[in-house]
Amino acid sequence: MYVCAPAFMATSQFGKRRPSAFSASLTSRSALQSLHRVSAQAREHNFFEGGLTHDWITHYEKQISSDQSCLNEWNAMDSIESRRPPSPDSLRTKPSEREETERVIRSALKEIMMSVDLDEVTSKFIRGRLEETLDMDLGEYKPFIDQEMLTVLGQMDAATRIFPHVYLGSEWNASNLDELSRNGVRHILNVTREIDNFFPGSFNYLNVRVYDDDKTDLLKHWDNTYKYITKAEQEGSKVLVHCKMGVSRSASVVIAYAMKAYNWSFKKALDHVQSKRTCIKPNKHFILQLETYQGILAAMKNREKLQRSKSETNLVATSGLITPPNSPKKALDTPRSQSEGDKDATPPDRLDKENEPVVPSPPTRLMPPKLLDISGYDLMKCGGRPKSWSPENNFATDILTSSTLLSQSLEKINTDKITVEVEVEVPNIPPAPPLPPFEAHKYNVSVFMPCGNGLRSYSVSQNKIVQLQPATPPPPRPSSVKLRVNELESSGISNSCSGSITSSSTGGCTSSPDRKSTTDPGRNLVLNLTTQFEGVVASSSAANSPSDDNVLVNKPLPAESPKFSRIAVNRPPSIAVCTAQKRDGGDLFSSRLDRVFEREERKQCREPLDHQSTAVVSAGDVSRQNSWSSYDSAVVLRDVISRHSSWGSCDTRTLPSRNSSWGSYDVRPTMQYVSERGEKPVVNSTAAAAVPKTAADEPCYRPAKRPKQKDQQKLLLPNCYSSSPTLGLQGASHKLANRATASQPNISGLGNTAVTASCNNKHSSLVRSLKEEFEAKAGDVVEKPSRKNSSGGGGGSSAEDDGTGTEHVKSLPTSPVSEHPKVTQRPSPAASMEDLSVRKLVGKYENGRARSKTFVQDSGCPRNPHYQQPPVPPRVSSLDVTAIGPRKFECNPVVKTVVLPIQQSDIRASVNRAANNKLQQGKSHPLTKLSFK
Amino acid sequence: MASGVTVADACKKVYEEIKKDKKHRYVVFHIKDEKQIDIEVIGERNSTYDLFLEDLQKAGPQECRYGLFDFEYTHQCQGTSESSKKQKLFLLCWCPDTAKVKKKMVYSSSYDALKKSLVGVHKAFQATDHSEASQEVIEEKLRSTDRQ
Repeated sequence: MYVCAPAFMATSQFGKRRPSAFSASLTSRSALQSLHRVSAQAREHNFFEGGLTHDWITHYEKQISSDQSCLNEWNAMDSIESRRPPSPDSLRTKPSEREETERVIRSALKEIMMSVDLDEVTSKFIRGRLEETLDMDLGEYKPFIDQEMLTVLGQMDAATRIFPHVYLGSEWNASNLDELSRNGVRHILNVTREIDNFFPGSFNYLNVRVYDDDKTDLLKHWDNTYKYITKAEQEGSKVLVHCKMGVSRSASVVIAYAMKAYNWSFKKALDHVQSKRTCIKPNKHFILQLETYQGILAAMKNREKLQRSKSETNLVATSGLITPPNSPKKALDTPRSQSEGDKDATPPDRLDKENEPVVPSPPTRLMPPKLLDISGYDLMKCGGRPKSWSPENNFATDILTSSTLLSQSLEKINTDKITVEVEVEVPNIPPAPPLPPFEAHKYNVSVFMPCGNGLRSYSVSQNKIVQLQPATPPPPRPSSVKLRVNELESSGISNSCSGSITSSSTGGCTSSPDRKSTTDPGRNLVLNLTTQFEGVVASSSAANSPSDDNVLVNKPLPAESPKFSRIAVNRPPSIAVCTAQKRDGGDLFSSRLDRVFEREERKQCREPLDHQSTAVVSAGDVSRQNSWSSYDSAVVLRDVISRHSSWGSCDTRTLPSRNSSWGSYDVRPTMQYVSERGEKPVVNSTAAAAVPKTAADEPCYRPAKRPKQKDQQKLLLPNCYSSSPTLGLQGASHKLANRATASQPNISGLGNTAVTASCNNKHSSLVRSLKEEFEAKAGDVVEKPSRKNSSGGGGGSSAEDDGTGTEHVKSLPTSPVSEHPKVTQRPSPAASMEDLSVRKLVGKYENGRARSKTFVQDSGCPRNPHYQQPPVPPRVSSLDVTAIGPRKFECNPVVKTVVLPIQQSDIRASVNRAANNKLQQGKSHPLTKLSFK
Repeated sequence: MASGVTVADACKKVYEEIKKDKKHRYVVFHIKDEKQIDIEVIGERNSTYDLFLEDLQKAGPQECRYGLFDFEYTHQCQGTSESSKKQKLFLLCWCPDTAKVKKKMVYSSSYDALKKSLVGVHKAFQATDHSEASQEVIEEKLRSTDRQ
């Protein structure tokens, strides 16, 4: 209410001076908004007469001690044509002879009329009988007698009992105190304008003051009449609904009540009332209104459904945004890893070990916790959708585990169906990350899970995904587990790695995710380096970056998948993953726009998206990493990313959301992600390169380390965030063993896809050239990856890479675990370094090719970088997959070499700086980039 | 309509004719089949009040009717030498004592519907016998609201 004044003033200002028009309009709008808020609050809290908040009214009502006659005068209504008889009080005070006579006449008349056949009697006959009974000349009372005759006649028709608590009657029924009290009526609903309330003090009245004509809008009163009748019923009272004759207005009211109270159709209600009171005849306009009311009630019944469907559609839209499978997987993995990490010590350790090589994690750790917490809290406050934020995922994992995680993971995973799958799997079997081959199934599962659990936008992506999912989801888990086990068993190297991580297949899975993650970072780095070196067009870089981001999330998974895919099973999944990724990509494209809008619209959505976006950013960072810095650019990148293949979309989503609306939050996540991304990119690259195992393992280890560390610190949220970013990219770390496993499958699928699709995408142009260059530069590195691949010999380039990767992974997991804390820092720097210091890295690679070889073998991180390049190709999509795949792999090795040196030294510092800058300024990417450079 | 009885459109149409176009002097309505108020008789413009009363009671002593009459009389305002000619439309509900109570009931309860549908009627009266429907009584009632 207060708002009004300002609003009006604002409008007045608007009229007076144009300059202030904008502010004025704003003011008025804010005023309107305030009014709206107040009214909404009033509705919410029942601030209405009769509501709980208006008890004070009854208090004052009790204070009224005036005579009923005074109250009647006070409550006198206009347009009254049928007035109640003079009150007993007035009669008492001055009992005129005439009134006394009338009273006698009334009683006598009633007796007479009760004894005659009303159908045949005439008023003259009755008057004669009356005169005879009273033995007096009633000539002067003739008008009165005529009126009384009609009244008595009307009262002869008893009110009709339509329902046990509802009587339908006429004016005369309303004036018949005997009948009312006999029926137990205490509430009278007077649906007339011309008839007075006959017993204002004795009954509870509700007046609907309308005439019975065409213009009367009874429809708007039916809600109140329904409430009144319902209230009377609850009080154990009876309601007399009356109008003049109880035929049209009151009958319409009763029919409307029957329709609403008993969910009857208009026809049924009309028939029911008519069967009870045959004389009812609502006028045709009331009938039209009743038909309208029927439609309204039907709409009300469907409101829930509509809302659900609406929410579902929203979910679908969001899911579309989420579609980017790779990054989401990582995000999902991270949350799981965190949550799981707390639960399961082994997986975290593995992850940590894996992470160590990557190192970049430290800055991310620092940043992530705060960012993560904030984001999580914000999300919580918003009460909206958890979306992609890892913190929520962590919470969810901690609290609800399955449902929230799923929804969150989906959001985070937006781009990656795999992530979703991972989440799904996690809830069921956290430690057992679905094998890469099963990723498609997982995707499906994940899709379903988000829909069911989250209800949020994820469903959209799910929808897209759903097509893939339906058959896959249930089978994937078991199959994935089996496959994983098989894979683990089949791949001695992988087994060894898995063994180190966990005794069971789940452990293998975790390790594989880690590997993937490591590989992704490497790839990202490679990509970044390539982009930076070549100065690829922004679009190409953006595309690469998105792909990288995707790679980070997706590719890492693919990388894992390759590792897993070393086994025959893994390959198929990877293929499925590739298809899924492609699909995701399509989803991402369409969904990216939707996501962007949704992000803007929904902060919560944004948060989850941010995770994805962060992943995207990381991807973008890969290309952008050079510039890291600018989240603004990231925003732009988002668009670009969205344009880019599905991979990019996820990343872009996260980035844009953070950049645009989230600001600091976004930036922070991005920072974390960046560090994570750094890792992730490596993983992706590794995955894409098929070398993934080594590289992926390293990244994964890094994330794992992070989660472990976080867990140790008991910073669940931060962990989740940091983990989520890492998860998205590194996935394995946050999700730890369980999620890591889940992510791995996804990754594997992604990796395969990444290898194919990403390679294709990246290969499209610049990427290929860059890769080639990298390869040329890091010939040694390439050789190493190739060696690894050959050793894996799983199948195709990816299989080969896997083979190599598996070996490295084995070595890596252990080492990373021990080094985790340090390594985590290293990885993030490495990632950043990769982006920022691509040139340096290139130089390093060239110089330290031997190192890269060693690194690749030892940590697999170097391989990851190589793999990162492949992720970019994935964006290009699957066209060039086969041909490009090898190239990417080669490139990845080079990247790996570069990455390793960077990580150890410059990368950490640069990454940390960038992260800090990002945290502080949110959009300081350029600066960070500069500093890195 | 409170009784479920509706007013036929023809009633409104003829009312407009008599109010605006002055084509008729009076109209007699009746309730047809206890469902609808319809036109029974339309009086010529040069008809008299007596003819109106005759038409009202034409159906018999047990029947009720509604009547609409365009009543003309001269009115001289106080302090003026000129007398002005006034035309006032009034409604009359004719319910003789000899009519059945049920029928009276229907007419009296449907009277509101007719009154509301014929917008612009100056007055509405009820009459049960000639004494209440005589031209003098009606004129007196119509004059009661004129300025003296």
